[in-house]
This record gives sequence, C-alpha cells and structure tokens, in this order.
Amino acid sequence: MDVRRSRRPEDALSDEALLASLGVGDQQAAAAFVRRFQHAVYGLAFTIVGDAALAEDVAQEAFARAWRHAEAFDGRRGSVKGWLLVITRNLAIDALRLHRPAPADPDAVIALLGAGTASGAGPDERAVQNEQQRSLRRALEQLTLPQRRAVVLSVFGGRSASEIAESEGIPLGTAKTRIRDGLLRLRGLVAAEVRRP
Amino acid sequence: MTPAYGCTELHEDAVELALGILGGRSRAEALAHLDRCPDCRALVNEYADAVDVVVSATPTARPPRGFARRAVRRLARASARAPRPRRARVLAAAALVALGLTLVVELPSSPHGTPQVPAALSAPGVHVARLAPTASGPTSSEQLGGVVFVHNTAPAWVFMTVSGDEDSSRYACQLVRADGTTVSAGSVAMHHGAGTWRWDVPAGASPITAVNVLGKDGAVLARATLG
Repeated sequence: MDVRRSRRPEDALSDEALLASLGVGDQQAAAAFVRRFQHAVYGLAFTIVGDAALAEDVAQEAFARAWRHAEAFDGRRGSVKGWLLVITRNLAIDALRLHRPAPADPDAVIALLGAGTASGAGPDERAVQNEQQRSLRRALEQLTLPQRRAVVLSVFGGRSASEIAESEGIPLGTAKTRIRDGLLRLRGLVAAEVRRP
Repeated sequence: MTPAYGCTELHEDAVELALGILGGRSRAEALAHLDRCPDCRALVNEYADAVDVVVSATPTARPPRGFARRAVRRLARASARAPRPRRARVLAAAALVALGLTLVVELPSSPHGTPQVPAALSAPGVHVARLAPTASGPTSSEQLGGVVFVHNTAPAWVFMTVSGDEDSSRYACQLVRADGTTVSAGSVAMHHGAGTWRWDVPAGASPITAVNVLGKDGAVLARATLG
C-alpha cells in the first residue's frame, strides 16, 4: 500500500489558501477546512455552551459563516484560525444567551477548560488532553480569583460589565477594571505558557 | 445636554467593545469615535488581540462522530440554497492568487469528485479555471489536476496550482493566446506531488485563452481553458 496516497493533497494547503479555495466553492477544500479546524471550533463552542448537541450546532454554523464570509477575511489582521474562532465565540455566546439566560458559573467553565473530560460529554466529545489545555488553565490560575471570574464570565460567558457587576455584587467600575486588567494579564500569561519549553 | 463621546468614554468601554459585549448606544458611539481616533483604535485592537490570544488557547475537543461529514453537508446545502455572489467567488480567487507567491499549494490529483471550482469565471479582474488532463495526453500515472487563476491587471499574470502522482518532476508550461499562438512559459516543479507556478504576461499581447502543462515529449498532459 502506498502510504503517501492516504494523505489528502488539500491538507497540505496553508490555512489562507484553504480558506480561499473554500471561497471559490471547492468541496474538497471545504472538507479539508472542516477537518483542520473542527477540534478547535468544537472545543471552543463546547467550552462556552457546555452542551454537546448545541456545541455541534454552533460549530457547524461557524463553518457555514466562514464559507459565506470567506472573502471578508483579511490576513493582515490575524490568522484564519483566530478569525474562525471569533465567529465561533460570537455564535456560541448568542446561543448561550438564547438557551441559558442566566450567567454561566465561571467555576464550571474553568473546570471545563482544564478537566480534560468535559462534564456530561460522551467519548466522542471528550476533550483532548494537550499542552494547550493545561496552558490556559495554568494561566487562569495565576489571576486573582475576582479577575478570573470576571474574565471567564466576559470572554466565555459573553456577559457585559454591568451584568458581571450585578451577578458579582460589585460596582460597575470595578467590574470593568477586573475584566480589563485580568484580560491583559491573561494574555501575557498565556503567551508565557506557550513559550515554555 | 449629553456630553460628547470622547477618548475618556472610549477608554471606559474599550475592553467591552473588543469583547463584543458592549451594547446599544454605547457601542454605536464607540464605533463612531473609533472612525476618527486612531489612538483609540489602537487601544481597542490591543484588547481584541488579547481576546484572540485567550480564545485561541481554549482547549480543543474531539467533536461527535460524523461531525465533519455533517458540517460539509450543511455547507453544501447552504451553497445550494444561496449561491455565493459571483463577486465573492472572484474576490476569494483573487485572494488565492495574491497569496500564490508565498504558498505551496496542493490540490487533488484527480479531477473526479472535484467539480466545484467553476470551469471558468469570466469577470473583470480574475479568471479561474480548472486544470484537467487532456484525453490524449496523460497515462494513469500522470494524472494532473489543479486550478489556474489569470489576474488581468497590467501587466496580467497567471498563477497555477498543480497536483499529480509524481513525487518530484518538472512540467513545462505553455500559454495559448486568442490568436492561436502559443508561448513557452517556464515550468512548474513538483514536490511531493504538488507544485505552483506563476508567470507574468507581457502587456499588450493577445489575451490568454488556455494554459497547457506539457510532458517531457511536448505532449499536452493537462489544460485549463479560460472562458
């Protein structure tokens, strides 16, 4: 058996070329695009909505949106994966608000980020154990608890500062400060984790 | 009188704007302010970058079995329901052309099952055509496929992706003009069954109607015919 033949040629395309091929309607490119990003897209969707069926719906719609708006992607402003995850996050937050109006419990979200096995998930939905998973968890653990809760509620829960202020019982200005400082600190911590040998 | 929305207000709202959680009037005022304030745009971009970094670090997860198949089917259904505007396809193709100089592009070696790239898109700017084996040319071991993009700028240039079964080989390329003449146009080197090729078309020449890929004996192995 020729092992080389088992490798799909389109899988060797760069992310940008694959997106462009998706834009011209190539179905094999579409399949390769989904294969390449499905774990990241589904992982983010599941982290936000916490439900396998809803996460799949969100993830599928994210790919459909990417196809519809492929021509809007601007490589100078970020990576294809980052762009796709922004789409996914927005869709997941919309779905979350629709299906679960009450704010998510940030501790439950943090548990999902580091648990390796998403609660309630079957074997197919089980989170993949990887270094990336541990990195975000470790970075989050270095924030103060109030910052961690504010960042998780805003980034993964889509909650506004005023909603966080209300749910946490703190002034609006404090909520904004926690989100801002926590987010910037988390960025640095994640970057440092990624650079770790 | 409501005070004007300025940098002070934007600084208060910037992180929420970057997170996409700023709503209503504040969002509209913030966006209007960003239109005229590069410093505040930079601040929001900094927060947006932070969001991207954090979101990109979210753990991956294996989706349910059959997810990819269902997702592709959903794309196909969406495509059938609402075909993308022609302009969008052309722009997307243009994006690929623009990327061509720096990318190593591979495409399926067989034309079978890959009919989705339009045979030709006749539009100002970019023509797209699939490279397909000619009936007389290739043997089964030399099945070539790919996509050709003709960028009608001044000067025009052509970009082509080629895939085939040969691990490493080189194929001569040839441009066919509307007046029937052919022009040698360098060659495409294949690596691990794929290669890319770019050629500048001299200004004022007769339009290109096809791109040929030739075998060592000069036979046309594959052709992309432009509409």
